[in-house]
This record gives sequence, structure tokens and C-alpha cells, in this order.
Amino acid sequence: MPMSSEAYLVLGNLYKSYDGEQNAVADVSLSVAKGEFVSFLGPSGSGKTTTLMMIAGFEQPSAGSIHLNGRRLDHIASYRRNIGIVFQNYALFPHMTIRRNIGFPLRMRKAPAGEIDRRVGRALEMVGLSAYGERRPRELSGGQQQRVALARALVFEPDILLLDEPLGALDKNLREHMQVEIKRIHRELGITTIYVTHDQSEAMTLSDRLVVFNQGRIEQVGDPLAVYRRPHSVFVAEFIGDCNRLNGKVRDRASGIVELEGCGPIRIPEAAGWSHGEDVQLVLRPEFVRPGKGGKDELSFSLAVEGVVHYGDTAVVIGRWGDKQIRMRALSYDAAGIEEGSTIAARAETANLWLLPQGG
Amino acid sequence: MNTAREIARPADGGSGKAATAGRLLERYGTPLLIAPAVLFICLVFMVPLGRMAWLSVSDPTLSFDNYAALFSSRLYVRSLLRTFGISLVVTLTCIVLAYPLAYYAATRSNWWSRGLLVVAALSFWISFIVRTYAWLVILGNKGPVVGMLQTLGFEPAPRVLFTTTASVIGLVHILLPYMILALYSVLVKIDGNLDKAALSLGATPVRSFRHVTFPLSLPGLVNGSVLVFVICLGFYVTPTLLGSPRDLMVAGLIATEVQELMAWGLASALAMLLVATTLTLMLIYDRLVGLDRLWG
Amino acid sequence: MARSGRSTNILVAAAASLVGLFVVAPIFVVVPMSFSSAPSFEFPPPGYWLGYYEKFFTTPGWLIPLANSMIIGTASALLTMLLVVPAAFAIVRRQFRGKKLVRLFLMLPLVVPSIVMAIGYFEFFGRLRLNQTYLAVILAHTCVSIPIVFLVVAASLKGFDRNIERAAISLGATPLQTFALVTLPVLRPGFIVAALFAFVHSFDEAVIALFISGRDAATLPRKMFDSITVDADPVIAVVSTLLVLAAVLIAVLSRYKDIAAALRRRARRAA
Repeated sequence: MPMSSEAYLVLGNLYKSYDGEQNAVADVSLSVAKGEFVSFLGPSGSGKTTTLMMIAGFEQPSAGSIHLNGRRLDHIASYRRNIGIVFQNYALFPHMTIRRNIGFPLRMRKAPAGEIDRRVGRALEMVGLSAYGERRPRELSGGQQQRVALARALVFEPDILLLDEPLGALDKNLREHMQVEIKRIHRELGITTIYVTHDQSEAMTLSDRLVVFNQGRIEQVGDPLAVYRRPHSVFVAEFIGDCNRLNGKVRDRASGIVELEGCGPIRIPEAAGWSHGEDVQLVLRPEFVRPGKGGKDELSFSLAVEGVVHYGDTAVVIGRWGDKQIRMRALSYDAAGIEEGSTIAARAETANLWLLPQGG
Repeated sequence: MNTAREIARPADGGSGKAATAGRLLERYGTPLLIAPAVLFICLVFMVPLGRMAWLSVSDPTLSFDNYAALFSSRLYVRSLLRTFGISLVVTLTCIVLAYPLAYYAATRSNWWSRGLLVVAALSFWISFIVRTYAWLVILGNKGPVVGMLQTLGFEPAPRVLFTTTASVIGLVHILLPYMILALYSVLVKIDGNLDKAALSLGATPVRSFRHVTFPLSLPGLVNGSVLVFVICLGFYVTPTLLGSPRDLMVAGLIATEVQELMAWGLASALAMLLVATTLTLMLIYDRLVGLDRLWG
Repeated sequence: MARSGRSTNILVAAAASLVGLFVVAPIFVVVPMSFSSAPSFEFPPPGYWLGYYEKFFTTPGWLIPLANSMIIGTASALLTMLLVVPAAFAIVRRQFRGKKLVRLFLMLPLVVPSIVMAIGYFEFFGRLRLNQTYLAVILAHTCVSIPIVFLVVAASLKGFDRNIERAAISLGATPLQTFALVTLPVLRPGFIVAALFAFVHSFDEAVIALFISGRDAATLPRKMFDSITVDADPVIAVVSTLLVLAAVLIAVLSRYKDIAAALRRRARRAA
């Protein structure tokens, strides 16, 4: 993806407090490159929407700064920031037709009428709603309204595009379709985009980079796959994807031995980076556990199967290793013979294992 | 769509003057916005009311004589009691009559039930003088009620008009829409599945109503009752036109004191009493339920 | 909500219908009366003609109060809106100490019965020598309309989606432009309803008008009251019928937008 590596949008130590006591957003710093698609991911109340609103200008930071293309943004009134925003409830003007909705920002910028017509036409084409120009918002479905909102936010070529959980109100199929649309538009226009969501699979599929928020702070920033494979904290490990967690102690860092509570010693190269005797947690994602006896560079253990849940394409095997519960996710094909009450051999490549501090 | 900019960007830079103006509006905007309405109420509502309160203790002498007279005279006490009694009867009658219609309109959505609701809502917009006049005709000596009584053999025809009963009928008719609407707005929000659940658990329709629907409708019932009772207490036009001139309700009494006797002190005292009663009822309601419920 | 027990169904429907009949009965009395040929309260009317309609439309004694009510209603509606709308904006959208108190204050006129206000105004405007003037009636009617109009306007504001204002600002509209191009147009239907409430409230108001409108600013309800007690002819039935017609018309017109939209959709489908 061609993009400049220079910082385009810079959030510098942003703080936001509503009551002077608790911080809704604390020490948020981020550097976004031009043309990048960044997702703000986190549970409700994690500060991701508040941060977005500060970029948009609807909330004033209690401390910190926002810079866009080298210029200070947070001192500029929100109606002068040239930012496109798509809200979760579309926020289309109910008393205007679709064309006038989309043309609104152009009229605010005093563009000539012919110019407005042209651009509105192109915007409608871009989202595939050319035939709906004269309709009112209430005559359109949710998905169509969202597309109009997108067109309206882009027609004036803003510097950034902000999306606040735009697909939350749509059903699953429509959501997936719109995700593809948004990605396509982003590719075509190359516009710097910030996307707020609490849906981790959505964030994974859409973003160049993930920013994980928790309780007002940024827990981790990175490429989606990197964040998935190497979570910096238990929160991130559990918020994104599923994971098994096992407590243990580092026995011997030189040879990478970690003693797991209730399961016995295992060998894991990651242990080299930890100190002797340190308390750690092993993070093991269910899809990395596979049936069969483990070979070289693999962790081997036996799993006493307690239940198998079939999802059609995959199946989750729930069992015990020692006295700890382990979930294994396998293709239905591979899990075909596994029965409740049996004990199977299970394995996981040590490269897919990850260690976190206990209590972190 | 990404070459040279063909449209102007909104002007850059933080604004000095506009920003300060904005901040001023923020700080002083609120008082400015509410001042006109508040001042108006002070001048055009509180002042006249205050004058009346003053008159009630200053005319003809500076004392509480007027209030003493009210409570010691049989005429006034009976009028007060009568007014309370009538208001109570009207309220109860409204409950009994309004419930079937509100219930039917809230639980069925065929065109008949919707039509009934429209009729009830429409009567809101018809002036109560019109409705009072209609009852004058219906209950009058030359009207259908007396005519029917005569054909049934009651000679001489009993007087229906200018009695307390006529007052009650008129008041019920005028205040019924309030009760219907109050009940309807609560009944319509009751989850339709609750009744189905009760039936599936073995309750008969009547018991489902008694144990599930009715208790849930009580807030609307109370709302409507408070509204109807309070309005009825101070009603003037209908009892004056339909009711007995010897058995006046409080409003009629106040009017007579002013118009015929020019007894401002007494009239004001009565008026203050009426206000105090209404206020007390509203305060009790607020304590029990919260006034916000009344006006949603 | 289907229920087992058809007999209860029928019973409820029957009871509801009887009540509905009771509610609507006056109309079936008033309308025929307006065509009555007898100068009395006789019902059913002995004969029918349009004479009393003619009388209404040619008697200044009726037409002037009608005009007065129109003028006073409109002025009072305007004044009420001018006072209430800013206050509603402040109360719904802003946080400030004493907000609850201000709300309560604006609701106060609801607590006081009309008869009390009527004699209060009689005395108050009497002292100011304003009795029997338009101004007095307009001020009084405005005062008693404020609570209910405030409720309607506040409800309208509360139901307003503020995101469209944020959207407008993000798209480059200044706060002033946002207010004029987005906020007001969207609120307009609700405001029209509120103003209509205020107008009808003033138009129908009888008690206060009885005491302070006198002969110069006599309103229609006052004239009707006098007519009932003094005249015997059914001109009042004529007025009543016309008022009922007006109420029905307003109800239909308020649905006009929905009806027009439905017709448009049907035309588009056919096209």
C-alpha cells in the first residue's frame, strides 16, 4: 500500500477528563501516516470514541495536542477542520433529499452550482446510489443511508475520514458487505482513515494498524497480525481472539524450561527473555492446538476430552491438561474422530506460544 | 477525484473574535434564554396571584377573618365538601368509563379500535363550551332525555337539567378524554407478550388482566385520576351552566363573591384555598410518584 | 395480542364502543341543532333550515368576537412561542444549577385553576386599567399556555438527534448556519404543532375571557357563554358545528404530509 511514512496525524499525550477526577482518556499518543487505515479497538468506555471526538473537534482535550500535517489542529474550530465523519446512526439531514445531503458540504464551501452537481453525481456513483438522488433519507434502508453518509463525508475531499462504529446498526451480511465497500473506497481514494469499533474481527480485516484501547489508555499499537500473535497484555490477548492461559514459573531460562501449574514442565524458547523464578502466564490460542503427537519444536501433552462443540466448519474441543481446562479449535475434518471421555494426544508449535507476566 | 483542489477549503486558523463571542454566549447564554419566560411568569402570574393572597388577608381588615369566615360558615364548608365529593364521583366515573375504551384501543389494532381512539382524541380539540351546550340540549326540558322519560310514563317530567347530576354528567364527558389518553399511553406500552405468557401459564383472561395488565396500568390510572380530580375541583363553566344554582361548586362560589357581592377578600381567600388544595395534591403526587411522570 | 375467550373480546369491544358513543354524542346533537328552525333548545328539531347559519354570518355580534378570538389567539400563540422556545433550548440542552426549579416555575400556571387566575386578572388588570383590552387577554392567555407549549417544545427538542448538528459542523457549517439550515427546519413541524396548541388553547379559553375581555375584546367563547344564558336561538349550535368542522379539518390537514407522501410513493411505483 503506497503511503508516506511521515506522520500525518499526530496525537500528543491527549488527556480528557469530564469531572476533574477520572480520566476518560489518559496519555494517548499516536502517529498516523498519510493514507493509513487505523482502527481504534476496545470495549465500551475505553476512550476510543472520546479520542475520535477530540480529533473531530466535538470534545476539547483537557491536556495534550493534535497536529495534522504539521499544523496544530485542536485550536481550530470544529467546522473548520475539513474532516469527514460517519456516525453510527448516519445523521443524515431528514429534511433534505439525498442529493442535497451530499451537496451540503460543497454549499458550505461556496462551490459553484455546476461543480456541486458534478461532484454529487460522482459521489453517488461511487457508492452505487445514483438512482436515489431525489429520495429522502427515511425512504432508504439502513445500509443505503450509511452509504449516503459515506458519500457525504467524502465529497469534499477531506484530509481525514473518521468513522464511529458505522456498521453497528446493520445485520451481519450487510455489515460484511459494507466492510468490503469501505475498504475498496479507502484503496481508491487513499484517504487517511480512523475507524472506531468494538468488533475485533472487523478491526482485523480492515486495518493497516490496530490501536487497542483499555480504560482510557492505549494498550497496544501494531499491525493486526502482530497484535494477535504477540499481545502485550492479558487484556489484549483476551480481547482479540480466544486464548488459553496457564500460570507457571520460569525454571531454567537457559534451556527455556517453564514449570506450569498442574501440567508439568514445558520447553519454550521465549523463556530466555525472562528471569529465573519469574511468574509467567502461557498464552496458547485454541487454533494452535492440534491433535496428534508432537514432534520437534512442538509442545506435546495429553488432553482428556470433556466435550466437543461443532460449529459446522470448525469444532471446539474442550478438555483438561493436568487439572487445567484447555480449548482446542480444529477444522471439523480434523476433529471428526474425537469423542467425549477419550484422551487424545495434543500438540502446539512452540513458535506459536507466547508468554506474559502473571497479573498483566 | 484527487488532483488540484477545485473547491475552496474553509478558512484556516483559530478565530479570535468569533471564539470570544462563542465563549460569551456559553457563559451568559443560559440566563438570556430563560430570562424572558421567567420574567413574564413573575410579572403576569406571580404578581396577580400575590395580590390575591394579599387581598385575602387585607380586605376588609388586615386579619385572617376571611379564612375564619370560610371555615365557620356552613355555606362555604358545604360547598367545599360538595366540590370534593363531585370531583371524586367524576374521577371514579371517568375511570370506569375510560378503561374499556383505552384497553380496547391499546390492545387491538383494527380500524374500529383506532377509530375510537381518534374520536376520543378529537373531542380534546372541541371546545368544552360546545360540549356543555350539547348537554344542555340533551338534558333540557325539550330534549331527548326528558322526552324519553315522558314516554316511559314519568309525569310530570323530572327535572334533569340544573341539578348536580347534570353537572356530573357534563364534567365526566369533558374530562373523559384526559383519562382515556392517560390510560392509553400506559396500556399501549405494556408488552403484549406478558398476557400471552400468563395465558400459557394457565391463567384465564380475567385473571391475566387482574394480576398482570391491571397492576401495570396503575401509573396511568393514577396519572389520569390526579389530572381529572384537580381540573374538576376548579372547574367553572360547566357546573355553572348545567348545575344547580343553589348547590354551587367552589368555582361558582368564587365567581359569585366577585361578580355579585364584590367581596374581594372572601373570594381571594376561597381562591387561595383552592390553590392550596391543588398544590397539596400535586405535592403528594410528587412525593409518591414524581411529578415528572405526569408530564412524561 | 390475540386472546382466547371470544366472549371477553366482544364484551370489551362493546363496552368500548358504548363509551365511544357517549363521547361522540354531542356532535350528533349539535350538528342537527344548527339546522333547527326553532329558536329554542328543542331536540329533535321541529324543522330544518339554514336561517341560523345566515344569522351567524351576518351578525356583527358574532362576527366580531370571532375576529377577536382569531387575533388574540394568533398573538398569544406567537408570544408564547417567543418566550418558550429559548427557555426550552436552555433547559433541554444546557446544564445549569437550578434547572429543575426553572422547569417547575414554568409549569406553575398549570397548578392554578382558571377561575382563580380569572378573578386575579380581573383585579390586576382592573388596577392597571387594562380590562377589556386585547393586551390583557393576550397576556393572560399567553401565561396559561406556557406550561403545555413548553412540554410540547421540550419533547420536540428531546427527540432531536444532535448528531445531525455535529454532522453539519463537521461538513463546514458554522454554528449559526447549522442552526438556520439544519436545526430549525427539522424542528419546524414540532414547533408548528406547539403553536397550534397555543392558538387552540387561547381560542377555546372561556373563564378568563369571561372576566376580563368585556365587550370591546369579547372572545368567541365569551359570546357563546352569554348566548347560552341570554339567547335561546341555536346560533350557538351553528358556531359549535363550525368549530367541530375546524377541529376535524386540522386533524386531517396534520395528516396531510403523510397522505401526500403515501400518494407520491404509489405514483412512483406505478410509473
